[in-house]
Amino acid sequence: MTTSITLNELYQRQITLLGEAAFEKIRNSRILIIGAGGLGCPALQYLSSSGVGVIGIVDFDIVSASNLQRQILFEINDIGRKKVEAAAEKLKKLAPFCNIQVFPFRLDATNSLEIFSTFDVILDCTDNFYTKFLIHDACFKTGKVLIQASVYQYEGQVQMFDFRERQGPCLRCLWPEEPLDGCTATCAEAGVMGPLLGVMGSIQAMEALKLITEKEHLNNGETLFVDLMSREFDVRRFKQKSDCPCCVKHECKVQEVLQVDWPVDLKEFVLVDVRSLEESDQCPLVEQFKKHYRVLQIPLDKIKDFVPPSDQKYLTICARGLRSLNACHYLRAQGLEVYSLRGGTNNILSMENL
Amino acid sequence: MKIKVRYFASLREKAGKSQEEMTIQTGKDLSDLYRALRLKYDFSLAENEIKYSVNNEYVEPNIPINENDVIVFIPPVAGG
Repeated sequence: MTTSITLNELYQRQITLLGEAAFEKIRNSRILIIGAGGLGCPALQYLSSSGVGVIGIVDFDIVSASNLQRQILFEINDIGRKKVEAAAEKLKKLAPFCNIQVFPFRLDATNSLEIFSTFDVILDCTDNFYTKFLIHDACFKTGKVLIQASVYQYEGQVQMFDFRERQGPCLRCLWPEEPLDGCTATCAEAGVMGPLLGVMGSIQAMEALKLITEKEHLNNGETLFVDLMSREFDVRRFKQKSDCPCCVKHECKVQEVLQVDWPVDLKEFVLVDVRSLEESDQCPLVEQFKKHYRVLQIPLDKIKDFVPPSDQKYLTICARGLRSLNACHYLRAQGLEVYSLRGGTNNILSMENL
Repeated sequence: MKIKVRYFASLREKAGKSQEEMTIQTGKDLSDLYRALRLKYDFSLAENEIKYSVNNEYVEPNIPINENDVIVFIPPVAGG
């Protein structure tokens, strides 16, 4: 059936508005979407159905029931499947002319530069500061255009950074050091409305298409604020920071690997458990850790008060390995030898079958 | 003098409102104002952990406040 449908039939409405030449630019574009979640799903649907030539999807996660309220590519039968696989399957039905590439693993400092190299535009649809800053710095380093969005309950923000000329202002002009995950609640903690993610992911897709077809779009140094409670859209502007570590001093390196994989000889380390005390208490591993190893309980929001001796080797841990990576990154900057346990205690529990 | 203050994201949630008008003494800067409101609403973020905007420009927290300014406190947001 699809073989009888032509490109022109599928994209006629868009060609009417943009013209053949602009549509050709869309056909030749290569867009990477990082995070096939609340923002990623609508962005993926609109970009693939708009005729983008190559779409890459990076996500290590699997579909869970609590995703379906806002991650509209997935259905009940997808629960337990890898997000990239379920997403690619749906998108191929929607956009048979789009070349979908999947990267079913977590983006990190070792793989980001290589993955980014074959794409023109990178959409940050992730949900944590550590990954957002990693993507930002890697985009600056590889000279890509980054379109980034974040949400909280009824509100969202979008920023676009065109680094093709390696020029700012950049995200680090606003936040020279990334905020710690845990300084603000996640969607899981604070809750979020599905249609907000539809709006924000669609804005990311629209900005990408306008960039590719050379229309006006958000610029470096602008944040679009969207408030669906009060129905307000505002752009606020910021200037380049004269001593920005990224776009002025070019000192920002994509951080080297700080993660270690289980099994690890825990005797080598002082363990730093960065979960909240209530959360740690519910973890079946904590008792054993305390019995056999040196363990410090420093919740992530208290990590800045933590002044440890520098003659020890530390291993930060949490449930999934994200907050611990964030803490590890911060403690490294304080000059300590620190590693983060990849996958967190959830990974140990699944491997040890406890 | 009269000003308008807007709260975003976690600050809106904590304050229980999106915005309010208030009258303040002259001679205060943005971080003075945030410190006072942090005490009132029990905001968890310190004044160096948020961004400030006045009349749609991001500004440093040490700038003085003027009559009729629209001040926005912007916490970091990462959800997705």
